[in-house]
Amino acid sequence: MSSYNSEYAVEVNSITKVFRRLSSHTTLKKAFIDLITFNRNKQVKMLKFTALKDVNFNIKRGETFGIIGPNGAGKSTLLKILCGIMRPTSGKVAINGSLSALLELGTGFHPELTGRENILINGLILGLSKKEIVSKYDEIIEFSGIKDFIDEPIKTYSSGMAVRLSFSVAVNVNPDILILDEVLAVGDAEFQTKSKKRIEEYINSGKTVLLVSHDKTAILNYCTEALLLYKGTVLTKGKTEDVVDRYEEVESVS
Amino acid sequence: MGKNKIFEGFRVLAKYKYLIWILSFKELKIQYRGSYLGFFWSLMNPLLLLIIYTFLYVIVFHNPVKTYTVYLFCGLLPYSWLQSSVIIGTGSIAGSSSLVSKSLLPPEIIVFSKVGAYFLNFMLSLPVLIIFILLFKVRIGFPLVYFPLLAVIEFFLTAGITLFLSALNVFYRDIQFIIMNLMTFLFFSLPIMYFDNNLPPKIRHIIYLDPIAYLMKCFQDIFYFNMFPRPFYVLGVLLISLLFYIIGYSYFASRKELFSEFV
Repeated sequence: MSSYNSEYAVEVNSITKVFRRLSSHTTLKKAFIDLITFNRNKQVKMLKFTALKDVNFNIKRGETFGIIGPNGAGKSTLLKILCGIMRPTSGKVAINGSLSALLELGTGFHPELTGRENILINGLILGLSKKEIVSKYDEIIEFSGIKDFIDEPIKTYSSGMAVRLSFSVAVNVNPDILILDEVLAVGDAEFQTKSKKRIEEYINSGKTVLLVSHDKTAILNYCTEALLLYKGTVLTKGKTEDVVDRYEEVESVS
Repeated sequence: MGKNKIFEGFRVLAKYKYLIWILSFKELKIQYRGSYLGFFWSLMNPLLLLIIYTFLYVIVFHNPVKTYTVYLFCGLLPYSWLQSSVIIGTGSIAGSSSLVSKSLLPPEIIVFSKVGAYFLNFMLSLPVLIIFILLFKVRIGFPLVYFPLLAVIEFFLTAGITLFLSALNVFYRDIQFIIMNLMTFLFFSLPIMYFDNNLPPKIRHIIYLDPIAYLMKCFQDIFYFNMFPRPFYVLGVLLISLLFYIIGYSYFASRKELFSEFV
């Protein structure tokens, strides 16, 4: 987490992620039978799946960077590694600054607690003091547009409400680096305009944004640089237009 | 580097103390939401045990100790804190898949908040203990100054055990079921429902191989026997609990980035 290279906000150095799973229908009985019969053709197999393969990229400070790719390309896995939720099988990640993330819609909340309590908890996780969070309550609640339900438990929220609240928290806690996963298609037209404006303000204030989507227009609208992730590898990276062109080619082939 | 890692567990506690505090309160609130009697339920379990054991000890076995109920209560309450935290905490990481895999919450906070919630439970049941102490005219006094230290010791001991088990339970779900049974066994191995001086010396030595037995003894010293616990015991248990905490936290920290794949 140190800023040994201050030019970049995010540095990703040849990340590889291999998931290991036992084959389905694994039972203790089968494992035991394999063990005692020295069966060469074992019933219990370790299945390997390479979700990311040698992924490299850097994000400059103040840049809006896009990651685009079809479903199953490894986008979410990559984000989890960036957030420190998951450990890469090999490779290194450096995050230089505070980080806020919106991973998958409307999650990351404690379902039994109220919206207001979740705002407090999320703020504390991101390293804000109670005072700072309390001073931001009004702004966050106002922005999310769910004032009437803010003291109800999150589990009673519709998915749209939860997303609006999580978006509102993520952008209003003012981190150095903001990661947004598939969130720009959130909410109704009014909320979309509002969130677009907020993200633009955020970008203009010189903060770093990482936008992840399979939606070409969102990436084109916001990002200066992007990379195309396809089946776990970086197919191309560079100017957003070129990356999106390549994405369209890939899409038409498959 | 190695030194840094040893103290990491303490740094996390210091950094997130307010968050842990809040989540512990919320945890308690969630437990009793929608029930009419609320917190009363967490007193029910020790009170019922109290009735059963008092019946056994005083009426069936004709034990002459009049204040047995108070003695029992002194050990039962701190033991309940440990037992509930360990049982509930062990399954807590495996049971919070959305928080573990989709939020930036450090997973150890989930475990701390369980231990914290049962600590609050423990604190809230202390007034009932005091009522029993007054009813049975048991003398208490200055040894009570040891209470905060004993609570700190129990916190680190419980947190260390729970962190270790909760991480292990992510990969081997049998742990939570094994633990549930082991905790019953542990209870009867501790001098809580019986007096240690009724035991044959050989068995007494075996029982005091367990650091938890010393901790329970210290609680009984201050609440029941009105005497200062032996400093040697307190220091010993303190060091052991810190060691448990460091080991438990280190194991947890070494595994936590794998949790999201397995929960």
